[in-house]
Amino acid sequence: MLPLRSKIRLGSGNVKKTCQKLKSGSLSLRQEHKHRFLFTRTGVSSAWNHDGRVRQASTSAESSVGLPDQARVVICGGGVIGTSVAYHLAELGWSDVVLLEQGSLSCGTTWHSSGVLIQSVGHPVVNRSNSYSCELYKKLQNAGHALGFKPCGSISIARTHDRMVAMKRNAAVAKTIGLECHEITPKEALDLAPLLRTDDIEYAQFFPTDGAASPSDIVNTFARLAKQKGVKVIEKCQVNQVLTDEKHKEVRGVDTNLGTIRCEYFVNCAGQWGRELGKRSEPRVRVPLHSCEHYHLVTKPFGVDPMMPVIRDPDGAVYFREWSGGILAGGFEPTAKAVFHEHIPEKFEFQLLQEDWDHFQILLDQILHRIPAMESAEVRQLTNGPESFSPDGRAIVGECPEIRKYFVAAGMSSLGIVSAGGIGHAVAEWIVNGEPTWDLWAVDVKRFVDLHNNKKFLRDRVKEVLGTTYSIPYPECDYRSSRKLRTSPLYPILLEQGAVYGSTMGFERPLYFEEQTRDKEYLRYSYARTPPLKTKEYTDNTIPRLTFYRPSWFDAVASEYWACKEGVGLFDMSYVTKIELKSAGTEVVDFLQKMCSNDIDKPVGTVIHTGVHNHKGGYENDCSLARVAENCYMMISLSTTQTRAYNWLSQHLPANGSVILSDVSSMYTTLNVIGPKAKDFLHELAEIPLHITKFPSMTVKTMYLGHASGIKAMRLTHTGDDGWMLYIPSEYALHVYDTLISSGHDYGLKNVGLMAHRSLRIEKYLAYWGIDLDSNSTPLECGRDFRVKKNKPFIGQEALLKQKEEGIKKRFVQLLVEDHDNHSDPWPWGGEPIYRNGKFAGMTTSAAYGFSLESHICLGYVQDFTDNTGNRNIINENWVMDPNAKYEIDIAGRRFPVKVGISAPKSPYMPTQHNLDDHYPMYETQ
Amino acid sequence: MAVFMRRLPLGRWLSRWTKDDFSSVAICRSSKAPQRENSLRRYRYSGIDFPKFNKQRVTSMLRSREQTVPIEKGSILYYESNFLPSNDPIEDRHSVARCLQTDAMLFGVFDGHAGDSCAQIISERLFDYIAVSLMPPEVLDQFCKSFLSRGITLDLLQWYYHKKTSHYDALLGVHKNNLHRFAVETLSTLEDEFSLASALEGAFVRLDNDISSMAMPSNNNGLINSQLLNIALAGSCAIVAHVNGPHLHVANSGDCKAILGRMSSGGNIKFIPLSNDHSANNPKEVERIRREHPPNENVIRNQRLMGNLAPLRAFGDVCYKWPSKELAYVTKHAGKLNNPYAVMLSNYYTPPYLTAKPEVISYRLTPADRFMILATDGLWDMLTPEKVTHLISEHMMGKQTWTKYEAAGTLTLGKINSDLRKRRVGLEYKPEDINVATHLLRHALGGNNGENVTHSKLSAFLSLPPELSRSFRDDITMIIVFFDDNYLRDYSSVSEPFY
Repeated sequence: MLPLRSKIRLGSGNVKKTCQKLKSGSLSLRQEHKHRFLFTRTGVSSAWNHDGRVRQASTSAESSVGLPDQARVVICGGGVIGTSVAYHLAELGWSDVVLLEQGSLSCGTTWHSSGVLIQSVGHPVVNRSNSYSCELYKKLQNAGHALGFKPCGSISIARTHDRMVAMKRNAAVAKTIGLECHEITPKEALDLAPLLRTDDIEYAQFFPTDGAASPSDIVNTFARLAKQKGVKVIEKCQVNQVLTDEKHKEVRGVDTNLGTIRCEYFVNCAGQWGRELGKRSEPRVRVPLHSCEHYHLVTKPFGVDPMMPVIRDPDGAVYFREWSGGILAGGFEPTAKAVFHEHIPEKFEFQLLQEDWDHFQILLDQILHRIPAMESAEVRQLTNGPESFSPDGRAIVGECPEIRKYFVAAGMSSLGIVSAGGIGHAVAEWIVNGEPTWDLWAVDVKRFVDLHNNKKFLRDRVKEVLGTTYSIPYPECDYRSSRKLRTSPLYPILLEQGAVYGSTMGFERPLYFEEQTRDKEYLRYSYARTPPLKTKEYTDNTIPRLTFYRPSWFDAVASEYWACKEGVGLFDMSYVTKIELKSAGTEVVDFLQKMCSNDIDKPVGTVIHTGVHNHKGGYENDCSLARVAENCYMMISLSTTQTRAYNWLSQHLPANGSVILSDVSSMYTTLNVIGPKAKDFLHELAEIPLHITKFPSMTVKTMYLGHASGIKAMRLTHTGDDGWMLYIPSEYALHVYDTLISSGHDYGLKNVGLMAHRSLRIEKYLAYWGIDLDSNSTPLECGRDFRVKKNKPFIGQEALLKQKEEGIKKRFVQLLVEDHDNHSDPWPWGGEPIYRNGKFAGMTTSAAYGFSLESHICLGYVQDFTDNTGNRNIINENWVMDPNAKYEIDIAGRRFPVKVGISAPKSPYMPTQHNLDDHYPMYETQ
Repeated sequence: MAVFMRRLPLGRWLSRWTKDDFSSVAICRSSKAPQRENSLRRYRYSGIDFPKFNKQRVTSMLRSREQTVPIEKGSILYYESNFLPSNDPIEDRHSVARCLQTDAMLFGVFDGHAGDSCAQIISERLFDYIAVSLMPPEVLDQFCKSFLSRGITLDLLQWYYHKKTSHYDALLGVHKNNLHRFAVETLSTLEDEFSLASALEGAFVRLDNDISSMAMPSNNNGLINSQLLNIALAGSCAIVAHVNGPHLHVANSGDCKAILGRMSSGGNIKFIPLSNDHSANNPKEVERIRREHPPNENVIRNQRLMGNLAPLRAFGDVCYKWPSKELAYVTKHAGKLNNPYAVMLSNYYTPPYLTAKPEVISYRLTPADRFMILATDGLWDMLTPEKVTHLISEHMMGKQTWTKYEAAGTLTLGKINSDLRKRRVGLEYKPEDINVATHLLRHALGGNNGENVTHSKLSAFLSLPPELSRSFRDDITMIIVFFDDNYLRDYSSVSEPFY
C-alpha cells in the first residue's frame, strides 16, 4: 500500500539544461565574432582576441601593472561607451585615464548588440552624434583597424502615409547635416535588397552612408588605441564607492575591490548597471534607466549578400542586417518585458536571458512578412539580451547635477553602437573644455527630475519606451504609462470640464478643452503614442487620430485663443518651476546680480525678466524674478528646467551658505488669467486696485482673492498680453478657481490650454527656454540685449561683450509661413529646416498657428553656414532682413516660402474693447 | 452530503467574529438541525467588507492539496486531483490505485455524511473488495489458500493515493477476515459468464453488508462495539471508475458524478455523463424507491429519503437499513455511544430503505476521449457539467504555454512561426493554476458558474468558519483523468474482446 510520493508538475523545464544550452548558444555567437574578426582583419597585429579565455590570459598580464593610486579621470564601464570616452580623452591629450571594467571588455551588453549603424533618428543633435560615429568608424577601418564596418547603406520603408510624412520630416533634418538620403521606388528597393517584399511599400528611402559594424571589434579598437596613448584598462575591477569631498559636492576618488584611486573626474559608463552605480556615492546620483528584454534573431546562412543594406521597416517594428550569410532580424515589440527589476546581477558576463519565443512571435510575423525567404531559413539563435532604456528613449549624458565632475554616459536605449563615437566625443570634450560643443540638452542627464529615477516608474515606462522606438513621432504625442503622476489640485475639475492633458516632467498640463466632454478614460489616454504594431491594449478607437496635418483640436483652440484676445482665458500653469531665494541680509541681491544679466536690484514688488548665462554667454535659464521682499526673490521658469536651473544656482551659491535656495514648485498652484477683461474681472474679486497706474505691468503684489489670502499676483502672462499670473497657495486653489469660474461668465471667461497659450506667445515672438533658447544661444542672438546690463559684472558678461564686438553667427527670427493650405498641407510643428536662398540656414524651434495673423508662425534661428561641419559666418540684421533674401522652410520634404521678422509683428487684429484705463475713470464696484 | 446537525469546532475563526456572537455559537453547539439556520443568522459579520485573505494566501489554500500524478501506462497519461474541506474534518475522500492482478486503474471519490468515518473506511477497503471480485479463478484460489496459511500475502493493489489514518488499525484483522470470506464465497459461486459490472456491484454490496453486519449488536451477542457502530451509523456515497485499456466502467452509488470529455468533430470538447445521480432529482430513482415500499409510507419527503437523507443510495447509514428491532436496541444504549445519529426514524416500517448497490455504466474509450472527471456534489453544486468541460478544455489549451517553446535546430522559421501562432491562441487562456483541479476549484469558488472569478468571492468562501462554510458550500473533491489518445488510436484499430 504505497502511495506514490513523487508529485510532479508537467512541463517544468530543466533549467540547468537550458542554461547550458544558452551558454553554448552564446558561445557559438562569440566564436562567430572571432571568426569574423579574423576574416576581416587587415594584418594589424593585436594582443586582443575575441575568445574570452585567451583575452583573460592576456589581460591578466597587463593588469599586473595594478591599480594606480591616482588618475585624472576614472571611467567605469568597459563597454562601447566607456572605451569610446577613454579613446576620445586620449585623443584630446588626456592620457592620465583609468578605465575600470567589472568583468572583461564588452561583456555586459555590447557584445550581443546587432551592430546596426543608422544615423538618422530624427533629432538634430543625435543625428550629428551618430553621423560623427559613422565617420569615425569608417576612418578607423580605413586606417587599418578591423571594426567589421561595412558601408552597406540602409533602406527605410513606409507602409502608411503618416509614416511617409514622418520619414520625410526625418530626411529633411538629416539632410541639414549633409547626410545623404535618397527617395527610392519599391523597384529600386528590390534591386538593392532582392529579398524584400515590396508590394505593400508606400514609400522608401535609402541612406547610402549607413551601415553595420561589429560591436566587440569597436570596443577592442577603442581600448587598444586608448592604451597606446597611455590609458590604463583594468578588468575584473568593481567599483564599491565613488568618493566625494567633505561637502559631498565634488568627485575625489573611487574605491574599488582592488584598492582606491584618487581622481578629479569620474565617468559612469556602466550601461544597465548605471543606476545601481549611481547609488554608490554620497549623495546618490540619478541615472534613470531600466533593463528590458531585447530580442534579435540570427538565421543560419542561406546565401544572403554581405552588402545587403540594413533594412528598417518601422511599421512592422522590425529591422534586418546581413550576418554571416544569414540574416539578423530584430525589432521593438509594442509592449516589452522589463527585466532585472528586483535586482541586477553583478556578474552577467557574456550572458543572455532565456528566450521567450511566444513574446517574440509578434515580431516574427513581421519579419517573415518583410523577407519571405526567411520562412525556409533555419534559426541559429534567438538572442534575448538585456538592454537598458531611459524614460524617453534618448541617451543619458553629461555632468550630473548631484556631484561636480561626475559624468554619466549611459541609457543608450538600444542605440549604443551608433551613439558611441559621438557620445564619447561629446563627453570627452565636455570634460576637457568644461562644456560640450554641441547642444546636448536633448540627451542631458539634467533633463530628468527625481521621479524619473523611481524604479517602479522606470519599469512601467521602459516597457513602453522600447515599443515606441519605431512609433511615428507625431507632434504632441505622449506616453501612456505613469500618467496622472504630478497634477495640479485642479486636475480632476478641469478633466471634468473636458481638459485634454499632455505631460511634461511627469506634470499633467491641459493642452486644450474639448467642447463635448467624453468619458474620463478617453481623456486620460488621449495623446498617447501608439506603437506601430497594434495589440489588444492599444486598439482603442476613442483616441483622437494624431496627425502631422490640421489636428482635430483646431476649432477648440481657436475659441480659447479668442477668449484670451477678447475676454478672459484661464490657464492652469501649475507646472512651472518656482524657486525661492533668500538671505538674512542682501546677500541674495549680490548673488543674483552675479548670476543674472539683467539688473535685478529693483524695488520690492518688481518682476524682472532676466537671462541666466553660462561662461559662453549662452542661456542657462531664462526666467522671471519677482522681488517679494528686500532679501527674497521668487524665480519662475519652465518645468523642464526644474533640475537644471536649481542645479546651476546651487553650484554657484556663496560658499558661506548665506543664500538659501528652495524649490517651492509644489507649494503654489498657478493660474494664468489672460485677456483684456482680466482687470475688470479680477477687480470684482480682489481688494486692491488693479488699475494700470496702481498695479503696473511687471509688478507683484500679495493679495486677497475671494476669501483666500496670500496670493502672489504678477501682472504678466508670458504671452505678451495683459493679465495676471496668480500664485495661489495650493490649499486655496480650489476655492480661487471656483470663485473665478462662478463670476467669470459675463467676462467671457474660458478655460484655455497650452495650445492656445503657445499660439499667443509665438505670435508675440516670445522665446521659451528649453524650446527656443538653449545653452548655446545668447541674448544678442535673440534680440534681447536690451535686458543685458553693462554696468555690473555677471557670469557670461565677458563673452557677451566679446560677441557684441565680434558680431553674432545666428539670429533668432519669427517666420510667417506663406502659401500654406491650412487644411491640406502638413503643418509645421517645430524642427523644420530653414533655407535662405536655397541654402540651409537653421532650424525652427517651435511653431503654432497664429489666429490673428491667420498663418502658421515659426520661431527659429537663421545662420550663414560655410560648410557642412557647422562653421558659420558673422551675420547682422541687415543680412537677416535682406529684402532680396528668399526664405523657405521644409515641411516634410516640401518647401514653403516664409516671411522673416525680428520683432513682434503688429497684429492686424485689434481687440474690440481697448484698454480703457487711459480714457475712462475706474469706478469702484460695491 | 451531511444531513444532520453536527457538533461544531470553534477553532481560531471565532476571533474574527464579534464577541457577543460567542454565546450564539455556544448555543449552536448543542442545538439540533431545525434550530441551525436560526443560530446561523445570529452570526454577525464583524464589519470587515474587504477580502480578508490576500491573493497569495488564497492561492496557497487552493493549491496546498493539489496533485499531479503521471501514470503513462495503458490509456491513461496522468491524473490530477484536489480537494477542499468545508466541513471540519472534511467528509470527502478519494482513492487511486492500480489493481495488480488485472493492471486496471481504479479511481474512487467518496462523499461521506454524518461524519467522515464511513467514507474513510470505504476509501481504504472498497478497492480491496473490487480487486478480489475481479480476480481470475486461479488467482482467487491462490489468494484463498495463501490467506489460510499466512494471512494475506498477495498484493492486491498498488496505491497512488488514499488518506491514511491509524484510527481503524484495530479493525484490520476484521477486514482481512471479511475479505477472505468474500474471496472464498466468490470462488464458490463463480459463474461461467464473468461480468465486470456485476463484479463491481458485488463488491459494493458486500462491503456495505460487512460494515453493517459487523456493527449489528445481534451479531455480537448484544454487545455494542462503538467504533464499528459509529462507522455503520455514518454514511457515504461512492463513485468508482475502473479503467482497463479502452474499457471504462463507472460504478456509482449516491450523488457524486462523473463525466467524460470528448472531442467533437467541430473541435470542441463535449461531455458525456458517466453516471446518474441517485437523488430526488432523478425520477427513476424516486420511482424505484417508491416501488419498494408501500405507497402510504411516502418515503421521499422534502426531496429527501424519509425527509432526511439527500442521496438515495449510500454506504453505511444503518438507521435506514437495519430492522427496527436492532435500531431500537441501539438507541436504547445510545447514551454510551454519544452519537447523535443513533436515532430511530419516525414512520420506520419497511426497512431497508437504502442500498449501496451501484449503478454501473460501461463505456469503450475512443481516441476522441480526452478526459474524465469524478467529483463530489460539492463541485457540481457550483459548476454545471458543461462549464466544467469548458473550463478543462480551455485549461488544456492554455496549459501548453506554461512550457517555454524551444526551437530545435533544424526547424525553419516558417514552421516555428506557425507553431507559435498556434500557441498564441493558447496564451489567451493561460491559466493561473497549472493544475486543472485547482483551476476548477478557483472557478467554482470565485465565479458565478465559473464566470468572472473575483478575489473577494474566493476570499469570502475560504475565510468562512467551517460552521458557516457548511451552509454555503459542501466539501469539494475531484479527480481528473487524462487519456492518451495515441494509445487509444492504436487500440481502436485492434478489435479485441475483453470480458
